[in-house]
Amino acid sequence: MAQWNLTDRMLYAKLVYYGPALGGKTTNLRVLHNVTDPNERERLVSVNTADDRTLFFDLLPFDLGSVLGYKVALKLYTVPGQVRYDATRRVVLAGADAVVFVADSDPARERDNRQAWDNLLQSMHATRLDPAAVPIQVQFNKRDLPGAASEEAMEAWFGLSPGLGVPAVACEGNGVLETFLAASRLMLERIVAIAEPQTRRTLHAGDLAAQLHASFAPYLARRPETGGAGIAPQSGSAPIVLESSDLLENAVASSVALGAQLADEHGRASRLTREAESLRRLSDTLRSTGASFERDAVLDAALTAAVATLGAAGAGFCTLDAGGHVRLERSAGRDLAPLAQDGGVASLLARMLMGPGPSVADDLDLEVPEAAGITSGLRALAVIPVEPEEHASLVVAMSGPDGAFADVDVRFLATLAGHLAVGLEKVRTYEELRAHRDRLEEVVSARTRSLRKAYDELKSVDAMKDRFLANVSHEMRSPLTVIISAATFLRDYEGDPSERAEMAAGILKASQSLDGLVDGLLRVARLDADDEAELEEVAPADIVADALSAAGAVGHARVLLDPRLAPFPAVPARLARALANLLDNAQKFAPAAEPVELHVSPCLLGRPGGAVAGVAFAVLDRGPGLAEEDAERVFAPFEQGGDPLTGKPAGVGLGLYEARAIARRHGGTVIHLPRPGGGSEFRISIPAEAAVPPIVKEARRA
Amino acid sequence: MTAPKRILIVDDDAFIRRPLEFILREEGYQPATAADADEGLRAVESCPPDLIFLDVMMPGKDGLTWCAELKSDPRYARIPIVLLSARGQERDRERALALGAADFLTKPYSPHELKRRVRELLGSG
Repeated sequence: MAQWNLTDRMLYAKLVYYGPALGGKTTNLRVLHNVTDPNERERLVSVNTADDRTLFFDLLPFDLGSVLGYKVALKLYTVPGQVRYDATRRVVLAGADAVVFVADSDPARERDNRQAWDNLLQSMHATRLDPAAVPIQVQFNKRDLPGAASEEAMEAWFGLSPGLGVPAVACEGNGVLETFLAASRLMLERIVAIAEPQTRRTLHAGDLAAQLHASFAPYLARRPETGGAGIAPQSGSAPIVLESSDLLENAVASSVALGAQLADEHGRASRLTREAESLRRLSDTLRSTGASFERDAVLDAALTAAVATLGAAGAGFCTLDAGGHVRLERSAGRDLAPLAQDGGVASLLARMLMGPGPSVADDLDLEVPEAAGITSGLRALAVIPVEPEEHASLVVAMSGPDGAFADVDVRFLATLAGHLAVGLEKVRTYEELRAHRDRLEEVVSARTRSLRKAYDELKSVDAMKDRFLANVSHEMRSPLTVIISAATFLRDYEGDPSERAEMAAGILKASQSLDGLVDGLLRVARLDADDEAELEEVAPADIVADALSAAGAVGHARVLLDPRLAPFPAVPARLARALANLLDNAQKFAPAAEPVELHVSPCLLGRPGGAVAGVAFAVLDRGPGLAEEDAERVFAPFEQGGDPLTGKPAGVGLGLYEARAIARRHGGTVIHLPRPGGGSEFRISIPAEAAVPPIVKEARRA
Repeated sequence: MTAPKRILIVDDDAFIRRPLEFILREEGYQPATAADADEGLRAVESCPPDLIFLDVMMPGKDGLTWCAELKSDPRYARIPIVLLSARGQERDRERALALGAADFLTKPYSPHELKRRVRELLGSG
């Protein structure tokens, strides 16, 4: 390979003469050797067999002079032409910048020529020289032979285009410099063409061909005047002569084999080093993703590892949305977002994301030439699926003219994608667990609330039971005391008839009181079971009459009945009971001088859909009234205001509870109002409409 | 022969007072009755009884309060008081005994039980 020395402005290059045995390669070099300036003449090294055949190579350093501001120093080599020295030929050929193929014009040697040509192509291939890129200049030598093959015939031997071969008679010096000049020009043109940009910038402007011609001028001037024998080995270039011919070839062959093996080992070692590095990166990635439960952190660890390990320009995590658009979730290194937004690149990306496995776009300039602005500096793109998310992929971009993905890179990325998938799955599971835990906390607190409510309800039921026992025991103990005492007297003592009558009356009254108590308890116990009762149209006056009678208030209460009231739907016996309970209570607390009043009048009942007409039964007394805080409590079962004078419970505390329950079953209610001027008003309000009260209706359907 | 022992019955319910009054009379005691603490105090002051049956829940001053007042009055502190209550709570009983009541009986009581307590406290009438 050509070497540029930018400091000394030197260019070193290698030109190799190839061709069939005894075709004139060494003769070409000798002629060139002769024309160089004797003062600067360097020694032509030949490693020959005893019969003057090139065994190993000929080497002629040659100063081409200055071209484009650089001194060009060439090394000219010949290879041994004999078939069995293949290994040597390849060693000499390696790294050639151009080749001169010296063909023998002897038609009898057509086969040797063809074999040598094929051998050249094979050797170039073996030494990684591309015959399409490395220039080959052909020389048709020995044109002076009688019966020499025509140039057209020789062109056909090698498949050459017409006019490309340079005719020569090397032993007379003819055509040698022309061949060398043509080969040098092809070689230099190529060397300049493939030079790095920074090297090319140091070249002086000018016409390469013209400068080359100028530097060849002195040599052309020294062209040997005489032909034939004139080209003889000179004293200064005594060839090195080896006796044993095969020994060297064997040595070369085994060196080459050793070299190949070393190169192999070196390749393997660097592959292993690289894999070890990849694995270290992977384990770093795994460690950092393992330590994180954040999606972004897991993505960053993987993307950073991809960029650092492959020396990539950038890496991103992409998904496809429902509309097939590429969405870049996260990237490291160069921002890949423009790739996902540009139409051409995005659709290339989308196609790659849709694919089932890893896919690589080797040359973005070829794939999406119209997006050069977007992909500027980027060369290759690899897309590696990250299972199990659908169309989720690791996208890695390589930059530079050599940016490419080797198989080992793709394998690394696939493994990385696997790690990433595990990391993302772990994040997802963690999120799920966290959501589950949050839900659980919610459930637990809701459950705690409902347990608390149930507990409070139980406590209130417990308190109700206590009230029940206290009230009922008091209400039963007093009449029982009367009955037991009076009956004991009647049984054990005479007494006089009036006393005996008084005792009997006491027993009777106490028994009635007990009967009323039991009756009340049973009624309340049956409240829920009584929903089958039928509604019927009933006149308010009838309800009033029944209630007064049940409460023993006939003639005691003052009744005001609005004459406009029409019959309304009710369960008469039950509504009368509710009203009787209110009258009972009022009579308990009303002072003798101020009789209880009962006002029955039309009213309006508030309803969500607007007020409806109703009937109100208001029971008013001038008793002590109710403290505001007791106004609602008294409606609870076994609650009662008690006798403010004695502190004695007045009844078991079911009257108002029962009255309100009955009113509600009629679609109405009972409320307490403080009566202006002192005392209480308990008011039953129920709808006057024919509409069936909702609770009764529901009970019927059930 | 000594004069019959005087027993004062204080209860706002006449139907409870009357059978007790008749039975104690038949047993040879001299019963007197009052419907509340005020009436009872007048009876005690006019002629101190040998024993008082006292209802706990009464209009006006309740039985426990009046019991405490009598026990703190040196003139009447020695008169045994048996409290009668329709409320059977144990703490009422403890409170009564702590105030110096001789006994605490829960309604409904048996008249014979009552007679036995009277005999224990006063001897036979």
